[in-house]
Amino acid sequence: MPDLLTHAAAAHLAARRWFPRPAAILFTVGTMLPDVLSRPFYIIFPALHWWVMPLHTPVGIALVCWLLAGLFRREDRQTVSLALFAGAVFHFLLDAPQQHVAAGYFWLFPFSWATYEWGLWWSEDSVPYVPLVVLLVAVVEFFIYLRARQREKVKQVKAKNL
Amino acid sequence: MSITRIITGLIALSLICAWAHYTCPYPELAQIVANPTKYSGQRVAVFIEARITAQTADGFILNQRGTPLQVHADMKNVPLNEFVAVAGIFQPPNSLYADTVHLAQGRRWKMAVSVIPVLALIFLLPLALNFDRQTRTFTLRRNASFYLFCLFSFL
Repeated sequence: MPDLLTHAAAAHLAARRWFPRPAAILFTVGTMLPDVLSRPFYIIFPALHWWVMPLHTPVGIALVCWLLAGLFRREDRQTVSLALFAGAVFHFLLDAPQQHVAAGYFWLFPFSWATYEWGLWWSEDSVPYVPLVVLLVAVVEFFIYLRARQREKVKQVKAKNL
Repeated sequence: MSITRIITGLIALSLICAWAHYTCPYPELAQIVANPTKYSGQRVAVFIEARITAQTADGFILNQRGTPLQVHADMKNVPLNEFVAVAGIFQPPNSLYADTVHLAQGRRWKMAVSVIPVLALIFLLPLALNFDRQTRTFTLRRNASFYLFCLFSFL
């Protein structure tokens, strides 16, 4: 995985573009889920590695999203589970280009232990670019803010002219 | 939240977690060292939370959960206490002739950096959700994305 900050920042930018506002936060939460549910446990307790590994697979995270969606109102559940799962899939997309010495990501678990990854970079390679990623998010947010302000001004001018 | 959903979900999750633990094809170092004849001459990998504990003439000694392994890798000046992943041919009692070595330098930074969005989420997610005590369900607040925006603004 890239670091979680890069995951979250990328998800934030994607959510800004593709998701309606209430679902955007769930998309970002979904992006964090695979790492949040697995990494801390096996970093602190390495013996748990294979116990929590399924929570970083599509099937495992789909179950978690389905469970979490149950915490919401009945009419929101489908949106919640879809937004969370879409976030998780986005996470897996960012993980796919990495390489590992052994045991990469088990996309087909529990049906197969086959792993597939593009092997372009190591998981720690994203860390030096974190400031750049945060800056990118800030710049995008700033441009969105400027554009919204400009639109508001145009609206005001039009209203005055009318 | 229905009890059926909770029980079904938790049972399914427990089953796949147990399945992963009992069927994983990657033995841990302790298992490998405990069965030297089984793994002798075979290609194995040690990659879960293994750290370098000492430098040797032609490599280093790593430690995974208290089990040491001498790695022959033709490497000089390896950073001590650094996370490492190795793969190679195992030779009893506890040597490995590595063909692949990855020093995970920067992993601690990665962990530290990854804590930031988690902490932000812990503080900001409750602000983005409403809890209805009558139905015992959550609803998203209308301005939820504002809090998400805050999350990145303060970073």
